[in-house]
Amino acid sequence: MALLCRNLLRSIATPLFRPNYQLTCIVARAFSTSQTACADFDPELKAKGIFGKKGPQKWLKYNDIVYPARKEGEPARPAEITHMRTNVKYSPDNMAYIATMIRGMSIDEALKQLSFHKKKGAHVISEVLLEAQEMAVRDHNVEFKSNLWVESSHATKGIVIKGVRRHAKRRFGEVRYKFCHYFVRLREGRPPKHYLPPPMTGYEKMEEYIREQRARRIAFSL
Amino acid sequence: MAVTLIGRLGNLLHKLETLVHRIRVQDSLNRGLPTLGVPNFDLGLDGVNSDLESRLKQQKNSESGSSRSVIDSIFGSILWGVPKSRRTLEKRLTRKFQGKEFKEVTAIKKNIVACLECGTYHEMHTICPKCYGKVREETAAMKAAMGEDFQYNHPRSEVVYLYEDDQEDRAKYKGKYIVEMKKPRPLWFAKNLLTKGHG
Repeated sequence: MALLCRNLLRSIATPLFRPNYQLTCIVARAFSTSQTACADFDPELKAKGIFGKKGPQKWLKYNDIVYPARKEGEPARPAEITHMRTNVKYSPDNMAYIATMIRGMSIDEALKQLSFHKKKGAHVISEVLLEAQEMAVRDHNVEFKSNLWVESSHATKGIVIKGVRRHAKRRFGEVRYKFCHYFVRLREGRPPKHYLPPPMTGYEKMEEYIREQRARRIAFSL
Repeated sequence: MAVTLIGRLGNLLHKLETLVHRIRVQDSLNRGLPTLGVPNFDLGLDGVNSDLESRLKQQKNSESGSSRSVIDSIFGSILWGVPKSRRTLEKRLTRKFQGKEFKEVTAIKKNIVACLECGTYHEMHTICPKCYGKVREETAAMKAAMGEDFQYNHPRSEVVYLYEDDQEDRAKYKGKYIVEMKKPRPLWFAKNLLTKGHG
């Protein structure tokens, strides 16, 4: 089964594989006692996605939308740029934590925070943001590269390569080498003051309480 | 699934056994015979033959047999350490979004400041990495300029570093170990840093 898997992988990706390409070591190491997987990738393959598969592409189609021209007097439509990176060798749950952190931040603030973040996903996300910023200025008519904010940022599950590891007493366990996709949308302009609903003040809580109390009804009454 | 099946079989067997023994006890009571070897004494004969019950309980206490069925004694230990019920969505979401890990990983750093000299960001309690990088480079150059003397023949007199712009001070450093730096003095490297206090 292991050999079949390995041969299949090789047959799919032979033209793209270089001799000391380290992804094969994930499959190789899957059958050893070590639980670590290699993290370095061939840049060609990185661009294409794992084993030539690009992953989901719908997110980038938002960039191709052409809106009808604005009439005179209407304010300019803020530019929106979507970007993503597929099949990043990182757990989607761990990536999701970092993705939630930068929601609603200006791009400069996001890059600053990510540069001091100790997780691996932070480096990946900052690369994606910089690429998106570059694209915005080059292709989407954004005048100032700092005049962007993170409108949406999320991570989803990518492919999962399964391996085997040994346990005591002749038992075996499954090792899951997880990949994730990361999606981001940048919007031109200043970031909003409150991306998420702000915490309620005391007065607002009181008003809500009174509203709820007054909304009570006796069922099936006259 | 296998666990519940085994559990259910165990329960069923237990019930059958108690039923069988109740029948036996009742039969032997009817015949007036002694009732030995009755494992379970929850006979439900509330207060009818209390004297007999107490005797039977004494018999039970003297015996060593367990009151549980055979299957439970074999499989009981294996079923320990297993989740009793599925974690609710509320609990899962609480762990995911209000747990310690979430708060640590999504914590925004509010102690990042920009260096006044060069503008690079650094944490407030640290030195600017770019500025310190320059200092580190210069220190390495100064060590290299001293050559092997630094390690193997370190002078006991004061060591003086003379850059290209400092040549007029050469006279006052007579008798001291002078290291020639073949570059102009960096702007941030003031001479005052190296003067010793007197008194």
